[in-house]
Amino acid sequence: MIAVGYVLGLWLLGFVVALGCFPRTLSPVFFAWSAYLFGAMVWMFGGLLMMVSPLTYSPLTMGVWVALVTGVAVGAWWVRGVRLSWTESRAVALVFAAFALVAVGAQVLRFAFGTYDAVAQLRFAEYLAHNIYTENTRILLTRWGIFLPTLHAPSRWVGQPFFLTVQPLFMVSLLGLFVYLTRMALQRDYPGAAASGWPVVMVVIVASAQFMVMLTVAFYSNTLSAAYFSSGVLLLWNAHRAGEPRWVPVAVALLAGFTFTRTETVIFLVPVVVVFLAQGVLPPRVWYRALAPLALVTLGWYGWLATGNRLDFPPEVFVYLTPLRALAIGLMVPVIYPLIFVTQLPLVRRRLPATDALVLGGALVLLSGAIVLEPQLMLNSIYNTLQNLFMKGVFWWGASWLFMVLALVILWDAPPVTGGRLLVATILAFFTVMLLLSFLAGGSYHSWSFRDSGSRMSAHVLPILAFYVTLRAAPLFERSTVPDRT
Amino acid sequence: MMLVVVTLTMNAALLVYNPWGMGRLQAPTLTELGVRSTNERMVLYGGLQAHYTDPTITISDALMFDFNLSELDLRMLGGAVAVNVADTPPPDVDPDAATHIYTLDTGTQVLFFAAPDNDVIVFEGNNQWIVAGRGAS
Repeated sequence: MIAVGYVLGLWLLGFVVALGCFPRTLSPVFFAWSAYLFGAMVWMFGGLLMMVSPLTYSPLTMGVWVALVTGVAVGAWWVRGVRLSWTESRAVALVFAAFALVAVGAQVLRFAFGTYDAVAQLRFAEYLAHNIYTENTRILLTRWGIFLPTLHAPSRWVGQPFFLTVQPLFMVSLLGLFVYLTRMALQRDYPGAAASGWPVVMVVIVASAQFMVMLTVAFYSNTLSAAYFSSGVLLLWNAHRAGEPRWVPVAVALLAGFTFTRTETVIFLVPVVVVFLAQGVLPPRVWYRALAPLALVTLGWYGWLATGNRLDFPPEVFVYLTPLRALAIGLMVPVIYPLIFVTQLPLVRRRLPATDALVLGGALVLLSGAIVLEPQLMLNSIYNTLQNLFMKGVFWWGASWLFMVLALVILWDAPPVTGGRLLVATILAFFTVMLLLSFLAGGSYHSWSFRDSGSRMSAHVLPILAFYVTLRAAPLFERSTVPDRT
Repeated sequence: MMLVVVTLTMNAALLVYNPWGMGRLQAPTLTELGVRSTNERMVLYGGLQAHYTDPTITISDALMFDFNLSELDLRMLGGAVAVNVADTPPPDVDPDAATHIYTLDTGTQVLFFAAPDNDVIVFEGNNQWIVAGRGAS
């Protein structure tokens, strides 16, 4: 039951911290669904701090870290006068009960799955738990993100090889936030559709894909990536649609979690953020403030990886994330700052509505360039990605991807979704970057296999595509009285 | 609506068919690790690949780690698992009678053999013969 207590402790930590940091921005029910994501992030940042500082990762140091963060968050509650009504408290308690039920179920049913990537990350967790920094630790650090190992490392302190409860709660967060944020989006124009079972049907279509079921119990960082990326993007979209700047820091905080799940995730994040901020709907100062912590932390972490550190990395051990690549990735979020400034120039502002098309066009130009330079590699990657999603991959993805594409074909004449272009640009930019990675990573193409990294990465964006399909189909579930806007 | 029903039916059928062998962690014998459960084969595969990708991880470590990963009750096997690595096959194993062949991402082929003793697994990779389990010597 230690594993159950651990994840529920992370939930409580996340709930206290999230409401303390972002009081009166969103409903406490939203923070209840995202509490586990925030709690896990606080724990991960603690582990990261121990890695880059002379401190060691131990029950004592991590306990002090959690106590400090909790103390500050509780202080923020008190200073900002955070109070929950009886109705809110009851709703939050129900969400907590759902998480507790899944955690207990995961521990009792004991489903698990893993391949080499999972083994390697759990091995890293073992090293981290015992503060073993060997040549192998260095190799592991340059291939996988730090997030998953920091979460599983405490299992070694209590004599367990991993915690069976950690991964399933990320999937619960993803699915819960999908339904919450989809209903939030539908509420504006299609309240009838929001109240219908349509968002729940869509979440079942996503969750019933065997690959998503596998990610629920497998020790892959993709489960974490999918939860943080999709919920961050959907909240960002809602903030943009509602013109609500207070939601942006919450969305960026969720996307910050995404950036530490895998080594390459920052590359996916940047075009998405640029597309949203360039719309000019939300004031530049909101972006300046929201992105500042993320810029500092990514620059610090990737800079630490790039420049060598107390582990004294020799350059030759960097197989995947070379020092140059690490530095480039570390600079990506800070580079958004001059872009925000550029978007404020009068000449650029007049053309802002076309920015999503520009970003997408730029991505496609890069992809075309990669195809020209490495035709066999890139065409193999594209072909195998299609195989993974729509052909042979049906044996691990089920019919979920096929459903999304067929639904969009059927809904071709449906009223356009306001802000839908942002979602389409996000999805297409995601796949473009994913394909470019096979070029950037030094010539290994995506293979058609359920173990393929690209196939697993597709899970990060499936909820966003499902969200778009839900919005497109919403008129079918309601005779809207709101005029269509384009 | 028809599309929704067809999709959910297909997804449900795939979950029941379970071609990738996702399953509950159990405590099978070591032979079962090698031949019965796809899930546990994949775990074993992961451990082996860890070794062949990064030789600093010894085969013994890789396997022990996998046993942990499968949460095998090692006591059931009569104590700690022994791993023996040799250049030649064990005398009671036919080197031409591999029961399973796995090709790792590194290109290394790992051949699994029927073990004379139910409590050991025998496999060969990179011209090394490995016998793991209770009674390995």
